[in-house]
This record gives sequence, C-alpha cells and structure tokens, in this order.
Amino acid sequence: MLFASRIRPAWWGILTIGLLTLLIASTASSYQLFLFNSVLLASMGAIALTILQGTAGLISVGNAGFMLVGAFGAVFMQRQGLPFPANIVGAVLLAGVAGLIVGMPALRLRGLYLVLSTLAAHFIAVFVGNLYQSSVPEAAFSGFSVPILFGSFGERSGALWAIILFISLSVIILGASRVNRERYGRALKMIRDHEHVAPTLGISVPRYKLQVFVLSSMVIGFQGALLAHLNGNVQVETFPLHLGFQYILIVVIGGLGSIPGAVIGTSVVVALPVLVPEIIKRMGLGADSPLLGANISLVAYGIIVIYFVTASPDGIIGLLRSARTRLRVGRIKQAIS
Amino acid sequence: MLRFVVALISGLTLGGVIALIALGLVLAFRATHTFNFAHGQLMYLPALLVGYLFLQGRSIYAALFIGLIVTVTVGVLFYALVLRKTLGQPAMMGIIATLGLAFVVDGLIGIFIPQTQYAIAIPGVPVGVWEIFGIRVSAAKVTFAIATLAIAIIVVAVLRFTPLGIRVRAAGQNSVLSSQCGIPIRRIHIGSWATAALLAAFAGISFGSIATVDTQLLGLGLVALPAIVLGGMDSIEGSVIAGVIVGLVQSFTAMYLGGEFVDLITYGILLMVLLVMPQGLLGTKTIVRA
Repeated sequence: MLFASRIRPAWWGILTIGLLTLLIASTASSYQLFLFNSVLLASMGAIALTILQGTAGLISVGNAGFMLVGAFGAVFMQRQGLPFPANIVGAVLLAGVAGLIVGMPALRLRGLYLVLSTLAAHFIAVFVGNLYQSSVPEAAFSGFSVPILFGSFGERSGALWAIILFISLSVIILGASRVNRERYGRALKMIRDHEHVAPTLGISVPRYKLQVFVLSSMVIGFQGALLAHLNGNVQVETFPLHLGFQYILIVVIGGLGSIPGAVIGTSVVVALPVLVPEIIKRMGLGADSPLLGANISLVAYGIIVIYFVTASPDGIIGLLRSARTRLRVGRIKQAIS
Repeated sequence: MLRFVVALISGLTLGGVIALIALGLVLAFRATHTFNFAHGQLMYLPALLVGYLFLQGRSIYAALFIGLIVTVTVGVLFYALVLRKTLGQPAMMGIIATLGLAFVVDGLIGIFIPQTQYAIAIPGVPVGVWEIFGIRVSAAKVTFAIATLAIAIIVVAVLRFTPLGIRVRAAGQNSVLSSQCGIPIRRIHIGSWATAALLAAFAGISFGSIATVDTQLLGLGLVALPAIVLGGMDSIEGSVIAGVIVGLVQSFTAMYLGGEFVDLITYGILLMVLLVMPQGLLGTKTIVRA
C-alpha cells in the first residue's frame, strides 16, 4: 500500500528532500539551516491547506489560528505535567477537536462562507490564547518559554531538528499523497466540483468534509506544537491573521491541490524576504531604511500571487507541467519532420 | 446613564464608519462576488496619505483630494486589471486576488510613507464638547456619526430610487439578463468598485480624524465582514443597518465587558449568523446548503 504506484512520485519527492536535508545539515551555516528548517516546518501546514483548499475546495484563512491552538496546546499540556512527545500528541488532538468545531459550519455552508467562519475561528482562538496567556503571570507579557528541544546540543541542534522535521514531513507527504491520489481524494474532488451529485455516488459529503477539516487541522496543530519547541517561545503575537493569509498565498503560488507545489510555494515565500534585502543591498540601495527589503518582498508576494491568479491559476507546478508538455510536443514534432 | 450615552455616541460613530465600509463591500460583492479582504488597506491608504501630505505642507483640501483620487484609482485598476480576469474561475480566486492586493498595498505604504501614525484635522469639524442630556460628549464624534450615516443613507437612496440605482441593482442580481436589457455591465462594475473604494476612503479618513491614523484601520476593514453577513451579503440597506448594529455592539461590549471581548463578540456574532440564519437580516435566501 505504501509503495503503490500511484504514490510513487511522493517517494521521489521524499528522496529529493532527504538528500537536500543531508547536504544542508552537513555543510550549511546555522542560519541557512534555520531557514531550511523553517521551510520544512511551514511545508506541513501548506500541504494540509493545499489538500483542504485545492482538493476539497474548502477555502480557509484559519492556518494561523490552528497553529496557535497547537502551540498553546503543547504549552498547556506541558504545564499540566505531560513531557515532550506526549504533549505534542495532546496538542494535535486538541487541534483536531478545534477543527471539528470550526468544520461544523462547513457542513452547512459552501465555498465563500467557510472563509468567513474560519476568520471568526481565528479571532476566537486568539481570544482564548490571550485569556490563557494573561492568566499565567510569568507569561503575560512576553509569552511562555518552552525548553528548546536539543538545546543542549548547541551547534548540532539545527541538524537534529532538520532530521526530525524531515521525518515528520515525509510521513505527512505520504499521507497527503494517499489522500490526494486515491479513492479518498477523488471523493473530495467530486465534492469540490459537484457537491449535489456526490451523494448519488455514495459519497457522504458531511463525513468527508469534516474528516478532511479535522485531519488538516491536526497537521497544522502539529506544526504549531513543533514550532513551540523550535522557537522556545509561545505567544499570541506569533500567529497574526496575516500568517493565515500567507499560507493561502503559498498554496496558490505553488499550485492549488499539489503537494510538491505546496513545498515549492513555501520555499519561495520563505526565501523572498531573505533574498530581496540581499539583492537590494548588492544594488547599493536601502542603506537608510532597514525595512525597504521587507516591504519590497511584500509587494513581490502580492504581485506574484496576482500573476498566478490571473494568468496561470495552477501555480508554479502548472507552469512546470506546461513546460514539460511543450517540450514533449516539440520532440514529437521533430520526430515527425 | 453616563456610560450608556458615551457608549451610544461612540457606537454610532463607529457604526457610521462600519456602515460606509460595509456598503462598499456589498457593492463590490454584488459586482464581482468577492469579499474584498483588502478593504482595510483601502481605508488605511487614503488616511495615511492625507496625514502625510498635510505634514509635508500641502493644504488639507489638496491632501484630501489626492487621497481620494489615489484610492479610487487603486480600486478601479484592481478591478480592471485583476478581477475581470478571474471572471471564469471559481469565486475563491477573486478572494485570493484581494489578499494579493492587500500585500501589495501594505508593501507600497511601507516603502513610500515614512510613518505609520498620523493625525488628521479636517477643517469645519467642531471641536470641544457638546452637552446632550446633560452629558458631555465629543463634538467631533457626533459630527462624524451624523456625516458618515448621511453619506451612507444618500448612497442607499441613490441606489434605491434613481434609474442608475436600478441598473446597479439589476446588474448585481443577474448580469446576463441585465446586459441583454442594454445595461453596460462593465461600466457598472467599474463604478461599483470605484464607489466602494471611495466609501472606504471616506470611512478611513473619518475614523482617522476621530482617533488617529494607524494600523487598527486594517482590522476595521475586516470588522465590516461580520456586518455584511449580518446584513445579508447582497443587501444594500442591510449592510448599513448591520454596520450600525456592529458598531453599537462593539462599543457597548468595550464599555461594559472590556476591550478584550470586542473581537470575540463581533466574530461570535458572525459565526452565529452563518450557522443560524445565513441569509442575514435582509439578504435574499439563495445560499446553497449542503
């Protein structure tokens, strides 16, 4: 099952990421490793969203909110006395329950309205987070401090994290590929395209919608819980609504519904605010305003996403695919002539 | 009593601003079936521009004029260059495009406008306090409550009673049929987006001159989403009524429960309306349920 031919592309993807991980973990500087880890971590949430939004057609701005639930869940469980791996399991379950509650409106409302219910969910999650944070005196101002995992390993901690994140991401990629490419994903696509016809094919629309919502929330919650242990600090301000918007941009830039697209989109969005200031510095601009690079990369995000929405709705993956087709057609034409 | 009147006045002021934003959102929604997530940016941009240009030594009228023109241009360009091209695609793509617009405007603001906070003083607005029922309230707040509500009511009246308004409403209801009746759909859609941007600019500048111009304007643009859902998505009158209701609810919540509950109550209302009566107060019952 795990090696079925339908999900073979996923194994190639995992192999590529694995080689990259080995290469970067053994050669790169700690800052580059940190960026790479950010990409691995953010890819998890992006994959969850691309399944939810691309495959199932349920648009959500709730990524930041569910990450908050995961991170605060991990902190809460730890303060209740659960040690490291157990608190992450608890946080994932908590995020699943939150997903179940937020997913309820999705059963009754279609398309555009779900984006509003996830918007509401975000603000409610922020409220609860604030309530919890202000109820604990030592966390009220600067957030909870969580022991950084592998912190005692010093220099090597980044490499250890890369391995942990790679393994987690691989599991998520495999699971997501199975969802996307097998019966389950076809049912979701049916619901996305013809919600009224799906029940006649024996697809239980409410069950599928809730399941995919809960599963994606759990993945995003897992990401949030890991983030807590990677950052060593958890506070509400880490999860602004903007972050939820950013995940939508990631998914659209990569290509809706595509798992490699989610990873590529994440790399683009993580790389932009690093590369743009560098380029500006090389060009000798922006010496007087430190935020110029960040602002230019904001504009770049926006323009990239608007370009993909209007000109190429399948994102970077769509561009790659059409390039491949053109190459093939060219070869066939050559062979004919 | 004192707290009640103070909450009432600031609720009406806030409600007037939200009503303007919601009215613009509904106009844009009827034209292109998209929630505009960049509406907060369309409020923040003109308010910042006015504050910045005034500080640069321009006259306040020139600053106001430039602020309004720039905002309307952004709205029209966004419709003409971006939204029209998403026409054949799922409605979700339009929403994502507005997110893109929000990022672009945020970035441009950061590049070209040096500060993130300005104060605006509009000439002709009374300063000081007035006494209403023996309670002293800010004169500017009352003036802006009246002015914003008046603008909203004028726009609603135009849409309700003039031939132009009938065309706009028809185009929003069924664009194919109305185009066959000779209504210029594209011009009406451009006009709707221009009006939406203009109303957002009015709202931003009014709010900015009551309080200060800062990033909370961006959140205010989002607060109009619960308002239009409560009003019924496609209902022009409903958006104004619901805007005032949301403003009142926010200000009474802040007064009696505390500021931290404002978002919870506002978005709780959004969730309840979505679950219990998705057609809102005055909306058409066309929502497709699963």
